[in-house]
Amino acid sequence: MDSPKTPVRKRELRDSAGLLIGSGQVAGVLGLRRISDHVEPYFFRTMEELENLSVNGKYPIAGVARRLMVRWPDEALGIVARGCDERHLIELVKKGSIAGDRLRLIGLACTREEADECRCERPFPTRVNAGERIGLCEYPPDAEMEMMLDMEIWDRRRYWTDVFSRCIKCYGCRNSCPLCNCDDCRLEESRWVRVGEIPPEFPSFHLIRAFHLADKCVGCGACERACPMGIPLREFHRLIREEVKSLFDYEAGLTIDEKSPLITDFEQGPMKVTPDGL
Amino acid sequence: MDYETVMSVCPYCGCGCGLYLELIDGHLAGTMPSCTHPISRGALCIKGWSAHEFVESEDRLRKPLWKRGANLESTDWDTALYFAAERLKYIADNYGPDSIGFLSSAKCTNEENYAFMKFARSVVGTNHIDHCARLCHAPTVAALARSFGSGAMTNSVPDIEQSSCILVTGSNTSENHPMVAARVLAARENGAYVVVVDPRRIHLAEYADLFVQPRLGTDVAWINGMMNIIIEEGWHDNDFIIRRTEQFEELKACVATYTPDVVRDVTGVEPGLLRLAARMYALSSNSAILYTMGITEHTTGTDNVLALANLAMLTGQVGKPGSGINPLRGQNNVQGACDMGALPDVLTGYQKVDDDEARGKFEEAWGTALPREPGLTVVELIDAAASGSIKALYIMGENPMLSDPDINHVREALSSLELLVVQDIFMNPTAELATVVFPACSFAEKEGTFTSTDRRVQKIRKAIEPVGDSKPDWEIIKLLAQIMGSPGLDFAGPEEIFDEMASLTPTYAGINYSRLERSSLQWPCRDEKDPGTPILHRESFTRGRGVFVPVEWRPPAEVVDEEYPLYLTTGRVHFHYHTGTMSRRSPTLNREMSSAAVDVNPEDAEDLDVEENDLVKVSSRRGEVKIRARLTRMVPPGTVFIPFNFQESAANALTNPARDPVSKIPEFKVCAVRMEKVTPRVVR
Repeated sequence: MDSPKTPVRKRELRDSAGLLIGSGQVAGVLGLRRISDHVEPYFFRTMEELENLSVNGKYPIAGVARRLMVRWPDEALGIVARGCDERHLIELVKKGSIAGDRLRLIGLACTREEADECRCERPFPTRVNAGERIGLCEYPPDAEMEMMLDMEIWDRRRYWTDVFSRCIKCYGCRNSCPLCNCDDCRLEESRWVRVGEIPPEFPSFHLIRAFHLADKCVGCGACERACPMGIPLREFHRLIREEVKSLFDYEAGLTIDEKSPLITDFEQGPMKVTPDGL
Repeated sequence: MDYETVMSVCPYCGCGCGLYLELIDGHLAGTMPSCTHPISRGALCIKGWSAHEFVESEDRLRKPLWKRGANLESTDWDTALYFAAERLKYIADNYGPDSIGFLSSAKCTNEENYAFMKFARSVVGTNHIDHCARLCHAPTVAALARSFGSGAMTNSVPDIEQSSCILVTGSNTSENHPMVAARVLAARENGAYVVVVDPRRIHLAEYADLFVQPRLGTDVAWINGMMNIIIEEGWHDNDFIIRRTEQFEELKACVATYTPDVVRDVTGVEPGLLRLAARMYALSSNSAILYTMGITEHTTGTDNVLALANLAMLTGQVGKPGSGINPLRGQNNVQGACDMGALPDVLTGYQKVDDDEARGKFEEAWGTALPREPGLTVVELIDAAASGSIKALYIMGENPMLSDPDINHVREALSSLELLVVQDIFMNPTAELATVVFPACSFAEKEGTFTSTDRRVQKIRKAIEPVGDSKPDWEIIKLLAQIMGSPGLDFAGPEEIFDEMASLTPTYAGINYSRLERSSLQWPCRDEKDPGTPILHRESFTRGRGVFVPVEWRPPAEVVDEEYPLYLTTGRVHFHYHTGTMSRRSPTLNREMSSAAVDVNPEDAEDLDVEENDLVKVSSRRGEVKIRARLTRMVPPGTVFIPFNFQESAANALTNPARDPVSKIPEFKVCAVRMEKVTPRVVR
């Protein structure tokens, strides 16, 4: 089905997915398919379908995987995972939302352009099956955030009030995030956020999300892409991730074994922080 | 084990967002925005994200119903269809075809609107067909057709980002067309001016470079006032006026009297502000106007739109990228329902029924004679039902018992009918009065096309089997026509309907299902090579030259007095859709807002001794509602606002059915009311 012109990354991805489907180890492979101009999540079950398997496009597909695995408790699932998808899945396994042993990842490395689009520092999964690992990336600080961080605290508050007042409470940030999936969502409770109002109350709506995700967010940017009103959510969450990193030397989504420093019990005493933190 | 994403289009507003219905093992499991769709671009509003939620609701009508004694009882399809067919035939034979009226639906597909329109005109033989576009953009269709020759949004939703100045008036865009508001904010990030002119301090006003708050019902005055300033200052586009328009001198004479001081007296707008608005709009390189019901739902609705068209032509702000007049259509397929000729005076593509050549073309294609005289409009049909000249109404997917003005009058009218056929997905206050009710399929259970606000024709796809015994609307119409002995609606499916429609409609002639398979096309699209038309009126107007139609300001039909000292204005809220039949059955949307409130300015509240959440009674000359109060500075002192989405506190019990003389739209946006606190009886 491939012509010699098929790009290597695409061929590698199809081959890996084909091997996995052919092995019979999985019920199917969750990935993206391209039909003319549209890229959409798709559950591939046959070799023929893989013709439309797409290497392009970004959907937070781990959220779909979670829902499928809940629905199909005995099945193993293949999933095409970029670096961010893998980090989502690692967090979901840590949280006990999905069973890691039922997952077979097909690692897809992002191209430089794709990494730049997301300002992704780690645009590859731990094992790469398709594409080339471009290595860790660094980006200059976001100019708007730098400007904001230089402001006095009240001006910063005014900045965020203005930014979050654009919100039309679509819940797209929550809905698109594979890791923002509590059974009872606080954002829906009127005791935390008054219902039926746009913009939702500042700062409760957005700070509840920020705190809930402080030790989970892997910085994929799905929330920002799902925000119709252009709220800079990726940068907002990056600031919090950086705080967590400097306080606890902890990054979400890297390994299954590393527990969140924010999870503790009273017997352990206070949370441990790095020497230069707190 | 199956997971599918079915590409579709949002069934709520007219933005036309592309979304996926998610199916897990054949069950509807969620909605997801399409990242590659030109409108949604990976985002949706809360209604879009919840689009699947009402589809399999317990409340869906699952079986046909017919009236036995005082009650509606369930029955089978044959019984219901034969009963309705016989009654329709009997009434047509005995009282004539014009004793039957049809209300079509801006929620249904193009194919269904076409089939319904064909049924009314060719099977029954009447032009009495209309739909709720009458209650939203009828003035747009009338006015822009007169000024430009085409009554639709001139530009595209994505194109708004190209604007350097956006004048938003009478549109609460962030609540009711969220994905358009997204483009407004994006344009602002690119440096565009945003000018909001609205009697209410809407969400978008917080992001406006300039917010102008005129009194209710004074639109012609401030628009003429802007033109007065523009001409005085020489900010008008002489070249455009000379090359592209006619009757400029008439306009100039008319607006000469609307000096800033005169306008201030009428509208309350300070001359400085108006001048700034005029300057921003006229002198920006690409200015766009966005408007909705705040402009149209007035007895001067057509005049308001004509005035906006004059303003755009005066400054040459039309027919360019990011520059034009954009009436944002309310319903997912209200543009399509109009395009399909579900209107009393036109066939598809706005071909006039009284144009012998156009009608002749349809008579030949359909093999039957068609009525020549334009039929009655929505509110006229209701009046005619009340007076007895309309004996039967066939209502497909509309709920006039909540959407029409003065619903006590609507109830009397519908109750006096000999036959009321209602076809819907849910029981609603209108269906409760029906003689026979047909259960129809929702957007998720059928194929077809919707035409969204920017003339974008898109396909919806069947995701699940029909709920209960429901059938797609087109199929119900086809079965009824078969029983009535008319073969003209024997379509195999929606595609065949679309092809017949396109063959009779020049603006749709180049569109077909294979071209729509994975993309959208914007009409006019005249042949299979035509890529569609994202921007109208580029080189010349549809009618050739644009015509200035000068209009004078007239006050609203009802003004405040001692007995009714407050103005009431009505509209929609972000979390619900129109009469709420769908959105109130969506758990997500209902959790956000489960009841209505009347918005009251704190100053008025203090005068009336009303506090937040107090129960108040709002009464007009036509009715009263009890409703809880919400104190907000969104409304100015002297004006209250009630959303029309809620059956139990129906704003339209109060509204004034007085109509615009041209487009027949009722004045939903202004009437006079009185408000008093309801003192709860103390239980001892």
